[in-house]
Order: sequence, then structure tokens, then C-alpha cells
Amino acid sequence: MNKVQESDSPSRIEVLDTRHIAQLQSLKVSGKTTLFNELSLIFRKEAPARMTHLREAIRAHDASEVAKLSHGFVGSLASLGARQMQALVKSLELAASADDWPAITVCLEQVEQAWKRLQRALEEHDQGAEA
Amino acid sequence: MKALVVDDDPIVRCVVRALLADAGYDVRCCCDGEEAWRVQSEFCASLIVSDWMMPVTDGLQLCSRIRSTGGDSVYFLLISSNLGAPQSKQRAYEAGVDDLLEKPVLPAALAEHLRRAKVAMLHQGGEN
Repeated sequence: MNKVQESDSPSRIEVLDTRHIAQLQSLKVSGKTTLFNELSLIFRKEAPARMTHLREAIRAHDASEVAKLSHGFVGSLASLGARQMQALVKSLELAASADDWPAITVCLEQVEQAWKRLQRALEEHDQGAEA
Repeated sequence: MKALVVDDDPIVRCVVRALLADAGYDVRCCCDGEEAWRVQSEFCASLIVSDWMMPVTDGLQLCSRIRSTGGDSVYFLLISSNLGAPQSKQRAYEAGVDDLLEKPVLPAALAEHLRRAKVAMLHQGGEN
């Protein structure tokens, strides 16, 4: 069964990579809006549909679709700096590529938890920026 | 200087567009190779930053099409998450790609590739 390595366990990985985000925030795209603000906005608009498609593919027992969807999602998460969820969705992709359904089930649970943490972190980040 | 960004992922499009705009390019974005082909025929970008795997027409097909229709001076930067696979790079260069960037697209790495593109285009003397 494919598991996230101990050294990369979710609790040890930042929800948001602060160094990466600092880079994204240093780039203004318009007025006070930074690249991170814009990416965060796009992500929050797009990601719920991606999560829905992932859940549907898992429900349909379609491992190749799960691997394909996870692969695309990992790229977006990496560009945003969402390291914890990136690591977990990568594990989901590997489990799906190996057609390892027990691992896929475990990974999905972890991804769902990371998704909630990421949403909270993005909201907190926005609130911090507004304050 | 005109640049065309082609990717079906809105997050990647946004990152690449922002860095190109910051570097002074007039940027347009497309979601797939087919749309990019139509836009490029009017926009005539000197730099194209395109994903490889896309629906309808992929990045390699787009590059081959541009090269086969006289677009030799266009600098083509291909981004992909599959560059470690055997023969991927060879296929890309055979299609006429100038440079390759591994996904995920991170700002510092992309900025370095854009600097490289600018130098190559200046040497070529073909900036639009």
C-alpha cells in the first residue's frame, strides 16, 4: 500500500509554503492585488469542482481517471504553494497509478482533511491581508 | 514584445502570464493548442509558452504546426510534467521546441527560462 513517507508526513509539511507565498506576494498583478491573491482566488473557484471530479472517479472505481485528475491537481497545488495537499494528492496519484484501491481510500480521506485545512489557511491568509 | 501563454490549467496560465507581464511582454492566454493557433495567426507573438499535454491540440502539435508554416523565429518554451520520460526531450526538440521547463511552474525557474528566451530572441533579432 502506498503511504506518504514518514519524513514527508502531512503533519511535518506546511499547509502553505510561506517562502513560496512570499515570492508570489512580491509580484503585483494590478493595484494592490498580488499574484498570490489572484492564484488563491482562481484556486478557490476551480478546486471544488476538481475535488468533486476526484470523488466521482473514485466512486466509479476508475483508477486511470483518478491518476489523471490527481496529476493535474498536483501541478496547480505546487504552483500555489499548497505543499501539504500537494504531497497527499501526489500519493493519491501514485496509488491510483498502481491501481491500489486500499491506498486510494486512505489517501482520499487524507486529501479531504488537507482540503479543509487548506481552505481554512487561505481564508486566514486573506483575513490577515485585509487587517 | 508579444507572448502567448497556452495551458488548460488556469493556475499555471495565471503564473506564467503574471511573470511575462512583469517582464514587459504584451501577453495573451489560450486554453488549448487549437485556440492558440488561431490567436497566433493574428497576434504574431515572438514567444510562446505552452503546456505539452492539452486537449484538442497539444503543445508539440502546436509547435510543429507553427514551424511548418514559417514560424521559425518564434521562441517556443514547452512546459511539461513528463520530461523525465524516455525520449520526451528528443521528441520536443524534433518538433522544434527551443527550451523545456519542468512542471510545476515555479516563479524563479520560469523567470530564469524567460531570461534565456530574451537573450536568444535578441541574438535572433526577431522580437515583436
